[in-house]
Amino acid sequence: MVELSPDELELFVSEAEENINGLENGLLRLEQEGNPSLVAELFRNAHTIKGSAGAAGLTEMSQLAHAMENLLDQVRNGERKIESDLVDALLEGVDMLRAMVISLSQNEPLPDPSQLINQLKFIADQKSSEIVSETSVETNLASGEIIATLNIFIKPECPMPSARSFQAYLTMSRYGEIVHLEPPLSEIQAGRAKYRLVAQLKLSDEAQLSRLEQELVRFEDLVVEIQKRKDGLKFSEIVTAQKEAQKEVETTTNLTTELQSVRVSIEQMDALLNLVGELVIERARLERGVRKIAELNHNGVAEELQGVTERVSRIVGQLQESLTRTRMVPLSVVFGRFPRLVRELAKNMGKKVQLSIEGEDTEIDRALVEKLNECLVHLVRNAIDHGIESPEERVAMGKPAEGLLEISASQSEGSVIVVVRDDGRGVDPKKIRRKAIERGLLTEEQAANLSDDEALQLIFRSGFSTKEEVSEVSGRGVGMDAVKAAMEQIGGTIDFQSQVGEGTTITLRLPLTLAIIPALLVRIGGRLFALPMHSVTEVLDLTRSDIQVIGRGEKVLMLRGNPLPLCSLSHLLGVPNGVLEKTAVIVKQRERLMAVSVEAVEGKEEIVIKPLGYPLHNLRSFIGATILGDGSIALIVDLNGIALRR
Amino acid sequence: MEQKQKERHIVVFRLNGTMFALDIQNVQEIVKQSDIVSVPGAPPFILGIVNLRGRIMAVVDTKRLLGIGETAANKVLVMVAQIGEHLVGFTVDEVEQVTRISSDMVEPVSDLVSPEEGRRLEGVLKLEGKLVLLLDADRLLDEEVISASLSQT
Repeated sequence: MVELSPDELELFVSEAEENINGLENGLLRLEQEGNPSLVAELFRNAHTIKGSAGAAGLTEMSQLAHAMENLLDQVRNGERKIESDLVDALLEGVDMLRAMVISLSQNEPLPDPSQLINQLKFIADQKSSEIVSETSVETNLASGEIIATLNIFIKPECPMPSARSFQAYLTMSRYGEIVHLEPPLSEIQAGRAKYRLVAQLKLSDEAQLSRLEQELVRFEDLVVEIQKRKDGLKFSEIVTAQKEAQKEVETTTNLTTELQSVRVSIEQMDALLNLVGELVIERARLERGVRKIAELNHNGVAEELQGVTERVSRIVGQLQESLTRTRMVPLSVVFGRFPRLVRELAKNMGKKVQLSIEGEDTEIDRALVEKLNECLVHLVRNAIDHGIESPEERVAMGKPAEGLLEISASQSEGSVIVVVRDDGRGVDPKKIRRKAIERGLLTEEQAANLSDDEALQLIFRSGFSTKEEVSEVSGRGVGMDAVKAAMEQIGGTIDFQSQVGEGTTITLRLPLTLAIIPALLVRIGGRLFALPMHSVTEVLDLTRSDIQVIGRGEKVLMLRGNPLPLCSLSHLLGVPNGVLEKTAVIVKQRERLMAVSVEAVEGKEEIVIKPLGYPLHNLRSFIGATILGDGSIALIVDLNGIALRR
Repeated sequence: MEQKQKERHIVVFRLNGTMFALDIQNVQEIVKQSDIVSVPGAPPFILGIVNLRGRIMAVVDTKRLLGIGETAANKVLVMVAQIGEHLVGFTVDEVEQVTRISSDMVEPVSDLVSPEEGRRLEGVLKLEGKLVLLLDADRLLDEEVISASLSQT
């Protein structure tokens, strides 16, 4: 194998990944929509992998892509129908390619694809002879006549591609009959030509063609590629060739827009964000200093300084915002995997599921991607395993045999909302109540007192699972409680709605970004701590609140008639306190509200979250720490990580 | 065997009168720290965290970690060490010297110290007639080693 430099390897891997993903998604769409125009794109994906793997000396990967390309070619030529077996085999190829690329990028020995290659070759040999010529339609070619496809590239330095395209068109039309032109003549005349022109021509003989070629290459800013065919073309081939030509023209034009972006490594991004975080801290210090100067002196110096500080502050704010934005990735990176997952799960479970995905352009912080994906995989599995009924059951209930699974995303009020909805059997609150009693989570009386909605929320209790048998799909033990915990870890929430017989809707709400969050600064034991605002609901004056003592001295705060447990934050965290705690912060801890008392609330601030660092990274009580304006450190409390009572 | 003849640099420091050393490859710098913020709920050998040029770094009370006493939290000398890919601070009383040694000067600890302590040491060497314990940076915070020594005390 050719030794690739790290840069070359990175380029190869990212290009291969793109094409592999393209293959996977395209295959799934092809199977679902049966749209033959997709084949051209798939063919090109396989072709690109074949070429670049070959160039990198990865012979086996190239051979595998070649075998896949051959099968796709048969589909493209109408020699093979799109069947689930074929898609299966090609998807296996996709998996193998992906495994090979992963091994390559991790510098491990590549898996051996030879068996799969043989299998793909076998499929190709076996059937192609059976359906050959089924759809071939002769075009009217007189003897000696040929059909040629001209790929004309217009060099980027050509100042007027439309004019050049039109000249090329005129030249070609003098030599033969133009069967197809991409972009069409109307577009060219309207001045909307691209840097690539594809034409199919009928010419009287080969000599005409070579004369045409010579005339075309006289334009110095044209590069001409010619494919010719003497015999009759298959009809489908013309169609796909046309479609492909169109697609390729589109891709070429996209290139210019793509070139306006660059790849930046994640580490580099994080380093930049850290620097901006420090700038934010220094800005606060600067503001404080300038305020002090202003208090001391009135001769105009302070005013000028203040003006500068304000401008610097604004620029730092904008810098922070735009840099945070660059960490955002579209949700398509998460959603893109689901068509495959859903297909596989549905197949294993004997269900029919139609997946609809919306809002994949919605962006979220890169740091949230992994957790969100974890949650969604779980919810999708649940929906297919527990939610959507078998086709027979559905038909018997008057539903369409194919179940509907929708995943959609949108942005609203500084949050990203992801909804997973199915039209399956829904969750029955009665069954939930019964199960809760069986599991000893509730007494019969408690269960009877729950509203249906409250009963549904029981699924978030740990160890709760509504399906009796343990299936391979959902697994044992990890349930909705795990999803909820994962969401809370990233400052998100989950909402669960279900109607018996109609389906289930789960709504996930995530913060836009994790790196910078609004937080409440509170003082306990003489030190400042930060409470993330997403878990704070309100702040109360304890001296004016109704506090009752129950049981063994546990305090309860009555909030508008609701009793909330009241604990001292210093006590919960284990910080020694001396001063009387006069303020209560009402916080959300898991599903419930509670009151924590603090010495004082010092204000609300946008804080930059910094990891506590090894070996404190696993500490449950704190998400991290932040550096305040004066350079001091405040720990950021993770309310879900601290025990309710000590 | 070839390895043994290699030269290396070590940082020699003092803790409660005993001389310890770390390979200089593991030491980034020595800083004076006055405001160390304690972290509630952290293991007892963690003195707290500091703001190291905008980055949060944990500071280990080296005496507690090694079971030879305790460091007072105000104004301490912190040796910033690279442990794997992490930066961790270690308190020291005083830095003696940075010196060059040849690898064959490092001898196995054998039965000079308890096996628990021995697990944190790469070896022992003699400098100007005094014994210096060479710490193994990669094992200093190894969870197994820590839990073994905590169960000892």
